[in-house]
Amino acid sequence: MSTFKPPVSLKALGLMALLATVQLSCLAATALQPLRDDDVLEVLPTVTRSRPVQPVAQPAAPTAKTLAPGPAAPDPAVALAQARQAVSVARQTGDTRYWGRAQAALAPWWDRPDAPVDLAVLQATVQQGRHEFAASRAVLAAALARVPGHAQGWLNLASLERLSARYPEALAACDAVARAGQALYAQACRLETESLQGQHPQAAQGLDALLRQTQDAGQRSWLLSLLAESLERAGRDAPAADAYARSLAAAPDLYTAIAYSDLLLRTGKTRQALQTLASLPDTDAVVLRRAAAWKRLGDARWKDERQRLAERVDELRRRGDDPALHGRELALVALWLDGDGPRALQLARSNLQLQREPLDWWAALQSARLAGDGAALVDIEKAIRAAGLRDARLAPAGAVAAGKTR
Amino acid sequence: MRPVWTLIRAGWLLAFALTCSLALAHKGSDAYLDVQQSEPATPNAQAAGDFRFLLAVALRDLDQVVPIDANADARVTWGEARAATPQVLALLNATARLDTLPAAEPGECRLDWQADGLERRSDGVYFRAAARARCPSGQALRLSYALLKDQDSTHRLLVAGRMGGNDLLSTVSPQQGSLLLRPADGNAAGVAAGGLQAQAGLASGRWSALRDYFGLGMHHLLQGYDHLAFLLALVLPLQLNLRRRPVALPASPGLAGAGMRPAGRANWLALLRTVTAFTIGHSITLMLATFGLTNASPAWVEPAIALSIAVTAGLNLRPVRWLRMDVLALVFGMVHGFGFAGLLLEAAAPGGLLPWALAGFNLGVEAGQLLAVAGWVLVSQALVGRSWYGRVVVQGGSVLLILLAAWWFWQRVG
Repeated sequence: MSTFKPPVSLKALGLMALLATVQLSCLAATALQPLRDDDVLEVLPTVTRSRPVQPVAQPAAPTAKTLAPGPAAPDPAVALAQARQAVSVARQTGDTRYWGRAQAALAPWWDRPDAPVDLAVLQATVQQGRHEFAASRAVLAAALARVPGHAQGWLNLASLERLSARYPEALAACDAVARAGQALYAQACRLETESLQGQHPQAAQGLDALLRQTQDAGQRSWLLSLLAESLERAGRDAPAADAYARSLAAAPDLYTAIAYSDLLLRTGKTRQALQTLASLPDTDAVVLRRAAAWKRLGDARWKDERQRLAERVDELRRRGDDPALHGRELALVALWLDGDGPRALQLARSNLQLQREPLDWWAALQSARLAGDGAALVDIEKAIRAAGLRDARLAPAGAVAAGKTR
Repeated sequence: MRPVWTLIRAGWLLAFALTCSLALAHKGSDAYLDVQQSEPATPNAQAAGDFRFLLAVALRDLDQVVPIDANADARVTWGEARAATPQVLALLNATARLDTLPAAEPGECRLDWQADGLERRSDGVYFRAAARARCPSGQALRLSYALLKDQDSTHRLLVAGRMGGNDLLSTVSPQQGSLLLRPADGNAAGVAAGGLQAQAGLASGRWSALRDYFGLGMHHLLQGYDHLAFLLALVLPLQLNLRRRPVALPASPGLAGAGMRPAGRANWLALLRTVTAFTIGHSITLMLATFGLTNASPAWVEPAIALSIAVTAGLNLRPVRWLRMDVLALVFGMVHGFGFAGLLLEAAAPGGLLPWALAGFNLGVEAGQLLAVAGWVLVSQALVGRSWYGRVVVQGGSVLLILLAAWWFWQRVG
């Protein structure tokens, strides 16, 4: 009788087995024993350098301080600065935890309809960074209804519309940026959108003109990356590669570096792609591309990286996050590393429900080709035309060849 | 013109940021808690179990609260980590705790974190802390967790390990604030969202408290060898026959007169009265102890439980005419009630749900008793009505129970 156990259903047993597997993989930790006091254990984002030197005090006093609830009335200006800093680190390092830190800074105003508009827009930024696009759009719409002259809010909305391949709506948002008095950003916003719609030469000319207006390294880097993407969509791979390289030389940027490595991989410059990836932080996107490059070169290390990506998906599940928010990477893993066409196609199509940038369409098309699914191919091409996207990479194979000989 | 510049500056940053929807996904900030309960040395459910807790927190997370990178050069060195260790431990003691009664003795069911080295995980180097605690086994423990509550809205504590011989697997966020640690069981389906239990509405909370503690009570009784031994001592002399034919009791010189009850319906009624009296007895003390009205030290409760078994079995050998067995069950039930580790129920029960938890626990103990007795009734069908039942089963069994109880008593006093 003492061995009595409550009945456990088979389903629960299965779940427990699954969880146990997950648990094993994410419990992987290796002990570390530094020897000398000046051994460096961890390198923090450089942003921590901006804080004052704080010698570690005795335990008692600071603990009381750290436990005290924040200041009685949270200061929106302080929160804004903290959240912006966290967003910036999240972007540059790819370390997702900084989105959580930004949210913590915004916590007193998070989801509050009466939040200061700057903070609401920043909340939308955090949500967009975490791929919670629908929530981000809703927060932006509410904020812009209250303050229609908020240029930053409209810029964010325009990028969300482009991301969803809703180009006319994106252009309307760009116009609102212009009305809010931000001519340069409004112009860049329009040019990028029109380039997606196929007006490649005009976009290149316009971006060149904007580049002549600014000497700011950050702005130049950004405009050059827009130019590079536009040239790539036009099928002009060599000038595009040059523009990417100039953008990265002006100011390094993770997103641009990855886009550059995609171009290098697509055009068969695998070793050069690996060089570009080498200096980047190990985000999922970087690990995926490095594995793809290694696989192509016959370097067996790609299998370890594949395993690492699988473990990361398990880690996301274990902490209660939804891996489907990273559908693009999941689809590319199936396409590039697993060579599993049907699975890649399924993942790529469900990812299209979330985001519709050129790379998302491209992953879907390639998956359909690998799977030999002609009907899916036709469907996807039809959807691309319906969205009004013009991109040489997405054209049928014959058209691409024609473009190259032009 | 500063506001415009600020906007443009931010605009540059954000326009740049948002043209990409690239998945820069690794994962958010996680801390890891490993809980291990060593198997109790004695087969005794009330014995406190030794728990070992291992907590790993990323250095880059801790640095937000305790300035580990003291010289702010964006590099955390071993020397800096060592210098910050007392502060980190103080922080952990304040933010990762087991909720116990204020009256609980220090060093018992309480976490006192000690540095336990460093480890490398997929997203960086982690500070590791260890703690040991002696907590009543067979019960859920309430872990309260508030680390990084104001610093990171997506921070999670991932809990894993073994407890009560079963796997433990759960997740809690500092916003939820606390988590009931208990072995994965038939309710394992809730495990993936384990911490979400804390958010459940009050209505469903009542029901789930009743249900959870019912299971806990039943489990507790059936795992408790000494409660079972006591029950057995109570029911041994009752010849419970499932057949309708009345059993003629042989007149045995060893079981003179009043000790034996007449067979048939009266025996069943006696059984129900006795078992229910036992339940009422331990419910009384369990509630008194839980609400803090009485306090009993395991130092005397544990031996007293062993003694109650010996006395009851002894009464089977040498019946006392004026002593009613149901009254005896009531009195000894009160002793056993202290042993049901009532002191920790309040700590473990979700806020405001204590009455429901208590009711569930008592009902569970009662159900466990009825199940145990039903088991005995089935087993005893092979023996009941035999001419040697009184001598072998009642007397022999009682002698064995006395020996067993004496052994437990010796162990618990020693």
